Amino acid sequence: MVPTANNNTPTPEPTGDLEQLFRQKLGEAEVAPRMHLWEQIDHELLVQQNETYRRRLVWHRWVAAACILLFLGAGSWFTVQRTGLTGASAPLAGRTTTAGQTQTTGSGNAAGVGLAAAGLTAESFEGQPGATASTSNEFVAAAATATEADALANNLAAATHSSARLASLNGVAPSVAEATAVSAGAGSFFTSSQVQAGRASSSSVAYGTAATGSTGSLFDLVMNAGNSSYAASATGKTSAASWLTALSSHPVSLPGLLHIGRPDTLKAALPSAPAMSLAQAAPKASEEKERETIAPRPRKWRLMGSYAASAYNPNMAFASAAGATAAAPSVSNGFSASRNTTNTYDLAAREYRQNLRPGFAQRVALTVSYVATKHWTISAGLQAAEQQATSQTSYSFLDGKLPLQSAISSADKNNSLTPPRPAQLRTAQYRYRTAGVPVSVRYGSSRNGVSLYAKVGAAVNVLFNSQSELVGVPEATTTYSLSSVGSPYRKVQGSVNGGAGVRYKPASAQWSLAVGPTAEAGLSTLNANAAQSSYQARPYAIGMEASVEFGGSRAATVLH
Amino acid sequence: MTEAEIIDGCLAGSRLMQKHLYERFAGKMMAVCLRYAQTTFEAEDVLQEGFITVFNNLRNFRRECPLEFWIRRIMVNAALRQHRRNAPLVAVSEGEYPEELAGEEFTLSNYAFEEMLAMVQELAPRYRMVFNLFAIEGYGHKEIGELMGISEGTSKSQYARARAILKTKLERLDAYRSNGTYRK
Repeated sequence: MVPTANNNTPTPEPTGDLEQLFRQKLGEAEVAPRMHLWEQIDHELLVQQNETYRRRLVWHRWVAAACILLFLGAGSWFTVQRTGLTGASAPLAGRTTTAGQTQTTGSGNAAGVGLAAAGLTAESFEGQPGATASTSNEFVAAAATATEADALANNLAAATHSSARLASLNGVAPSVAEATAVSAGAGSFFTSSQVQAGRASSSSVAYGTAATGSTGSLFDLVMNAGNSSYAASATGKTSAASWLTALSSHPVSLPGLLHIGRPDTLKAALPSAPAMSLAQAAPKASEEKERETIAPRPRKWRLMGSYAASAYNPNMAFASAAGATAAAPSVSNGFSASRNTTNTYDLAAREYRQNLRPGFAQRVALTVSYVATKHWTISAGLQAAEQQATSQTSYSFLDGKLPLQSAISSADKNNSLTPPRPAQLRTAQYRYRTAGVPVSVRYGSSRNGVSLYAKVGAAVNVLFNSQSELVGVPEATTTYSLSSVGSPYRKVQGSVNGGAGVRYKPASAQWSLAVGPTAEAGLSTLNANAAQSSYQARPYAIGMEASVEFGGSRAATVLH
Repeated sequence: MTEAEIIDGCLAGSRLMQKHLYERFAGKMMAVCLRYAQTTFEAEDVLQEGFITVFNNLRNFRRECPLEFWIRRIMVNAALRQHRRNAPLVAVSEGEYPEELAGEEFTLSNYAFEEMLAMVQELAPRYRMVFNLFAIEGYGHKEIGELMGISEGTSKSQYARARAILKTKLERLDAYRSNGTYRK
């Protein structure tokens, strides 16, 4: 302690009271503190700054999690809304059969003109009696504006439903009826992609229409986008889907672009010994330059948990004619009493497929990852999933069967005195629960901060529980377990999946968070006795996946 | 380097400017802290806490007064916090205090800084705080009472006691210098 106060005042000696004395001697004095005190203050400031950044990081994480939840919630809501809108057109279709026939017939010539203008190849619909009727719907849908989409969807659904039934009854080829179903299910949003597919090749038209006609929701848009890109790539065109594919195959770290990496001031390690003499201060500056952060040898094994929320479409089509009649006894409700059993089953199966809508699916997985190389990671583990889907049937068609004779008879018993009426369109709800073993390969960067990743994988799933409900007919609820003999579903299914997204690994952390879209497709049909080829009727799911991985390497600061 | 430049540098996050600010005011503030603390280590704790408060709150400095005054006030507040932490709440009787303190005359040059600092540091913590705030910082007793959580009367009483003790010490020091004997 070196006092530098004016301790000795010159003569003549001034005097003063006690307060003046102390104020003069102590009030303006200066005492140099110890040299290392600034080091301590600097260290404390650094600790506080890092703590501030940590708190901010936690806040950012919560915001990111809230955004993900909001996105998933909005996506689910949008899916439900879309499903509800398109589903609402089905009852309308059942009531306006005659009007639909008139509309379809009346617009036939105009449709031909529209096709020519759109550049569609004639061979796509060549030689099919119902081609004019079906393409007229497509043309109208393509010309419709967004504001007219809902009204058109209702009208087209009416036309579609009627033409589908007529085509089937009159022996028209099933592809024509499904081509008609395209417009009803998809509305105006999907027609453009179908036209593109039609330009490319007639086969892509068939593929696109089959997928679209089955669902008619947001996820058909994605499926059609994929089909369009497939067709476009065949003709040398590019599309958004192919661009995304190319992007996902080249993961690039973006902390520099997005400025959301580790803050510069967030040092990797704090000075452990703040007490330094003044003589050590000068060499310290040069030592700091030599500090560098090196990544230690990454740990090979990691644990990862993931959750995926997606829209799932079972995409089933049941077998018709003889194969199904054995499992489907005759139906004797008031409206269909005069029908031939085989034709009734075909109509019911076709109606089921036309009204099939994707439902919410969620999947949790716990996997162990092995870091094979700097960029490649192999994962395997266990997963459990629950998928839902809905359809509508006026034939009480459930799980590929018509088992509700007694139930429907009892339900209609009270109305036995009333004249025969059209069958009521009921909603069928399906729920599937599976457990499986997923295997995947992931390509991505192992660096800290934000980076991209892409992965592909496969899984073998066991359908251990399925439940089917017919709304309004609780006695029709059917549950199949793993040991059930009469289940129409495959008990073991294979699937392939893929995904890409953004991965975030905080500095000095041993965990990382990854979020991105994912898609999964079955390798086989969900039902054991499929009507169509397995290529067309495989289940698929599209959604978002979030995963947390533990066990990453921690950066360390060394002093050379 | 001007005071404004240092402030702007600190606000920009420059560690160098923070060090400049510290070096400019550390000596004066250490003297302040020594008056309020009983030991040098305690004073350094107060000084460290005070400077961290300064750097964290510099954006609140409105530049309406010299920076030194603002920092000094922060140091005093840091010393008060330290005092509250060290001295648990003790009921202090108001006691009696003289309305008019005697106006003794002391020769200012007779006393060294270390001697007077030692006298202040030997005071009981409550007396030391009140004496520093009233005699050197210029606070009123009402304000001191609010700062320390005591009544105005208690502040006056404690100041009178502190003053009496210091006066006695000064007189004994004078007697030692004139007679060669010193009674504690």
